[in-house]
Amino acid sequence: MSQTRTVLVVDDDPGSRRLLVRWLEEHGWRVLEAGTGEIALERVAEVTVDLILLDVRMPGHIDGLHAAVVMRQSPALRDVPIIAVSASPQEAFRDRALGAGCSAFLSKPVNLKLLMKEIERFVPTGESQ
Amino acid sequence: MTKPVRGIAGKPAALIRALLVEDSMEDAQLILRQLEKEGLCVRSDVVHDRKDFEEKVAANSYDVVIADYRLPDWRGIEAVDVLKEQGKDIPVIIVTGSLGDELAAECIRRGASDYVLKDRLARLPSAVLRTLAEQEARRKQERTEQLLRLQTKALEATATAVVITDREGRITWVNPAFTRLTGYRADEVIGQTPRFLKSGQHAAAFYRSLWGTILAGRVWQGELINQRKDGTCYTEEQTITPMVNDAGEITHFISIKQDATERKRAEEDRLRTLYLEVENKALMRADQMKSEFLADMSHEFRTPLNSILGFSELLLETCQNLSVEQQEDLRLIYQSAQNLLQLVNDSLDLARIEAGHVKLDRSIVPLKDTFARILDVFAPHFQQNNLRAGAEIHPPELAVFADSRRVEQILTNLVGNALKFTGRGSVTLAAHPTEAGVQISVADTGVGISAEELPHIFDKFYQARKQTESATRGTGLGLAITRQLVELHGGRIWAESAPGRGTTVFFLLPGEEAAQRARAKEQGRVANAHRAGG
Repeated sequence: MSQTRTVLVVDDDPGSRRLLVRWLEEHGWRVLEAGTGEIALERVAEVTVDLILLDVRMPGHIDGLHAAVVMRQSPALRDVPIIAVSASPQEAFRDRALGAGCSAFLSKPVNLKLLMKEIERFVPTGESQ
Repeated sequence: MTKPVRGIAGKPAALIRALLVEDSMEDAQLILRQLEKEGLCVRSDVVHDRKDFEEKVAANSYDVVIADYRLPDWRGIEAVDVLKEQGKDIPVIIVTGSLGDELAAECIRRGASDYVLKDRLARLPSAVLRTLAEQEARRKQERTEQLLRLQTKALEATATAVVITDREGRITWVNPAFTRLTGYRADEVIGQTPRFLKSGQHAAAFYRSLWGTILAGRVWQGELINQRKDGTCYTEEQTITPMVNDAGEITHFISIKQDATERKRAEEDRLRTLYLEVENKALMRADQMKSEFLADMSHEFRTPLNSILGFSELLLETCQNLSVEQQEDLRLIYQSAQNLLQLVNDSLDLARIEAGHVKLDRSIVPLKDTFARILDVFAPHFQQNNLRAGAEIHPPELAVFADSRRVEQILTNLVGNALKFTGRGSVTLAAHPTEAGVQISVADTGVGISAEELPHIFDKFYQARKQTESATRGTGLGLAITRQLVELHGGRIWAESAPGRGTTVFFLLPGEEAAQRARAKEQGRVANAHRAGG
């Protein structure tokens, strides 16, 4: 496999976060975690990432939508794929997430195989599921 | 040498315009001198025949005519007739050399104001002044009477009821509006006190306070509920004004009554509208809160389900050393969580439909394509269980006017349900047009439903066919949602079945022709909106 890719998983629910961390590590990713929008913005300022999985609905000052908007304003993050994940599957949330600059939208519960397909679409690893 | 100038009724002299009817210039001079001597300020014209007189009177305005009784060509008394003919109200004073009692009486009878003998001409100035004063008084009286007539007319014409009573409250006058308001004619009420209007809805203290106010000479204003002649009640706004004479004694009361029933009703209507608006807002707020609550609930359910489903999947996918039993256990966790997720989805769907939040996106949906898609989705299931799938559409191009996504949801629910209870045989989709719309059916050759259970299968949480052993147990909401969706389209759903002989679920959806009706209605609405706008 080529060099290790880095993904940032942003989710306020520890269970959901750990699930993605475990699944992505299992698939060879280096995984960074953030439990709030603020921490997510700090992480991406420090480390270069290849992909961001972003829960759009989080408590705190900066929810996922807000974080996505801020990230898209930074030149370094303009083209990084952001996959929005939400337990609110309504069309309205999908539209808002895409409007805020997210590249794709997946609803929770996340189908892990579907998630890998989406990731493959944005960050081809050569590893086929 | 000049006397102070005198005028009518002692007021400073105005110019007196006099028309003298006199053939002798000497006599005319005499008359004028006499008047001036008494301080009257006179401007005069002199004529001596009827023709001149008529012309002068028509062209000028005079305060008084002083006419010689005897003229060569005319008689002065006839000036009175000319003035009458011309409609002029100018007093005529006859001046004459000699006048018998009979002639004097004739002069007065014919309308002369006074007469003065030539040898007693000194009396003329006072005769002129008295005549003018009398005329002024008469005119004033006429003006007053005319004003009174107008005021009475106005009071009679007004829509406001007016009642005049004496000090004891006995009615002396009412206007027609009073009759219109109360139903009582003037002749029925004059001499009575207005007690007959009492509705019995006010306490004695109310009337005591009213009388206390008006007897003290103050205006009373208030709202009264009174009773008409026909027994119905009405609300009036009343103002009672005491009339006081020069001695300060109350002589009359004037009561003005305005029918307030309409205003009262309008006020109540406004209050009711306001109340409804507030209530409506509260309902909308409650509705919004309910929607938000449901959305939050959904979110809160999905978050833990994400972990349960995800970790079961993760373990099944990544653990190499699980025993077969452990794998089965994990699958059961996964499947149960899937069922729970379906329940959350169905509950939310049903709640949204019931709250009227689901809007249909109608279009013409050809059933051939829809049936093919549904059977395609279930193809693996048909194959695995060795079941036959059927689709019968007559005519083949049959279409419905409906929300295509919702039609697929209805059919998915019904086919999924049929497959659950069909061990062998077939599941067949069929459609044909009827009077009431397009009738679609899903027929299976499964276990069937008993007659007692059949009416309840579309109820919420009703699990008709006990299936506790099955891991694919439904949520109990699928058929309830299906019915709601059919009814949302204006259709109807029902089932026929017998135990062991399979089940057929029928439903009606609007046919293609409904699209034209909807279009025509929409055009009508748009046209109406244009008309209203234009």
